[in-house]
Amino acid sequence: MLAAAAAIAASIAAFSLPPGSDTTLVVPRGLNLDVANYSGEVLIDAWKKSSLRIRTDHYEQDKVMVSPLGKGLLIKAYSKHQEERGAVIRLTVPEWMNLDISGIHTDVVIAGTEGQVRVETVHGDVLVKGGRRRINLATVNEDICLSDAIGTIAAETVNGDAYLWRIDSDSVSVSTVNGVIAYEGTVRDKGVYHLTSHNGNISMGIPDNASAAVAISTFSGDFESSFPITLSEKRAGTRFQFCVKTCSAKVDLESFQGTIQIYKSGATPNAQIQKIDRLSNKIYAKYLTKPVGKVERARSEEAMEKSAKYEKYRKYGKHYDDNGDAEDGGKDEDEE
Amino acid sequence: MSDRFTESLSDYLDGGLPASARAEFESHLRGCTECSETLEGLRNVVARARMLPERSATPEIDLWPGIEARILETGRPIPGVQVRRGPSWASRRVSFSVPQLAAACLALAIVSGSAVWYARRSGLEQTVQSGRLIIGSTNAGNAPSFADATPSAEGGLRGEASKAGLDELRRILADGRDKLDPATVRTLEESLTIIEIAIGQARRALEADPANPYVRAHLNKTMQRKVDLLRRATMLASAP
Repeated sequence: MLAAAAAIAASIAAFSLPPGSDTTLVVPRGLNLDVANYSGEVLIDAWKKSSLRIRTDHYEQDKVMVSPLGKGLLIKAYSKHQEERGAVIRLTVPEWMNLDISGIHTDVVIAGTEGQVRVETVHGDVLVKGGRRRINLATVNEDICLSDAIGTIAAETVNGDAYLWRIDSDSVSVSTVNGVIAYEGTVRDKGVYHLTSHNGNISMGIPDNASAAVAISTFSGDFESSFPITLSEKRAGTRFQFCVKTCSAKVDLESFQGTIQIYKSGATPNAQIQKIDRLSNKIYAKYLTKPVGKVERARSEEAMEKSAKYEKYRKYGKHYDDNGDAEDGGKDEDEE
Repeated sequence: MSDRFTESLSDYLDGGLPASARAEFESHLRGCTECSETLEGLRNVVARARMLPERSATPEIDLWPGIEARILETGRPIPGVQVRRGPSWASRRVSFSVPQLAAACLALAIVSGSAVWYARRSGLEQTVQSGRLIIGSTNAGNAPSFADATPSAEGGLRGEASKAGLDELRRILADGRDKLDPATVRTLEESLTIIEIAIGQARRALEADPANPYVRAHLNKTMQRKVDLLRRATMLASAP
């Protein structure tokens, strides 16, 4: 099937899409999709059909090309390499399609996919709901939100937060240098869960049925647990380990100078995750339902609105107290 | 080689594994050539590291230019470095083996070490918190402190501690300046600064608590982040 997909992909002649175009291609199962967009947005949702709907919006001077690439397709925006010269690439893909998205000033929003997902951007936020088998998300200067994913997960940012919830995985690696990390999901027997920050708090929900060896490491940070634990070992420095049930999974939580917090997770997500979930749902709803309009007309207004939205999202994501209220006294978006 | 055991390599080497995990790991080692070889490679790197002077004012060796040059040569693999090919999934990725990465980290450690030495000599200290940077005056032995200040190139937040790294980055980006806009270059520089500050803090923590295996491992990981960022910058600057 993959060979057939590759053959079909190779047989597709490259073509360009004009601004405001709306094109649907029938695609064979197994076809991968690469998207490269230097600046702007890549917005993707999924459907059960084996067809790929492409809507684009970009400047007249630029172009968006669709061309074969390996055993898949490449959709690439060719534009002047400037932040303000962005393109919007709005896709509806088959659920099974593997996605590989790259950009620089690029926000990436993906919902409903059941394929592999790889995202790499520099300035953009990465919001993904779904994903199977292998999910790799990387940004440099912004946040990552991943929910409802199943598979091996790696998420990495330098100067941003990472929130992961409703995750089903036996291999999770999340790291940031300057940001918070929150994880709520399965802790599977013999699984490996590694959350690392240099300067940020880490919170992890431990399910009731989890069996794990939990190692906590910090230099000048703190540790809080919402349930009683018995240390099985304390090593040099502020590094210690304890077991939940039979020590099957390996959980490593490391923050050089942030607070590490663990809590029992249940059917209801904790307050912080709930708020992030609500906010991200609003973002999904907005970006995956809005019409793809003319860039020239909407760019400035949209950019301002989006910037304010993400600013709020980041702000409220970072400053919750135990009750889930904004600590800075500012109003939550829901309250405004 | 299983991810679970790969994760334990550093702890095993540090003598930081609990007795039961250590026994399990050693049992795995007896049947896994790849893990054994990786462990041996790491032991060699550590042995080499111990032979290095504690800190030098100027870097005696810099592996990065060689690594960078070979990365830029499309299609030519670096000896001992795996270049994943095939499906689009990994087509732009270059992955280093653990010993290679450790060797690269060592070289960068020397560069960073000299920068931190220079920074401390000039009495500058940089700290970082929640997307914010500040330069303050603190004692080297103290735990890092924080304050709020938005990072910006205009804010005078560039300390000597990050100069060496920034020079590396600028050199990498110089050839690709037509491919990356100034905002991206600035973001990469700021991110590198944040990593360098983290490296500086971890290094000072290790000085204060040399027997702390976590701090040593954390320092190595943070240096690895720097390698990753420089590698990524190289990719971006050389992308078609």
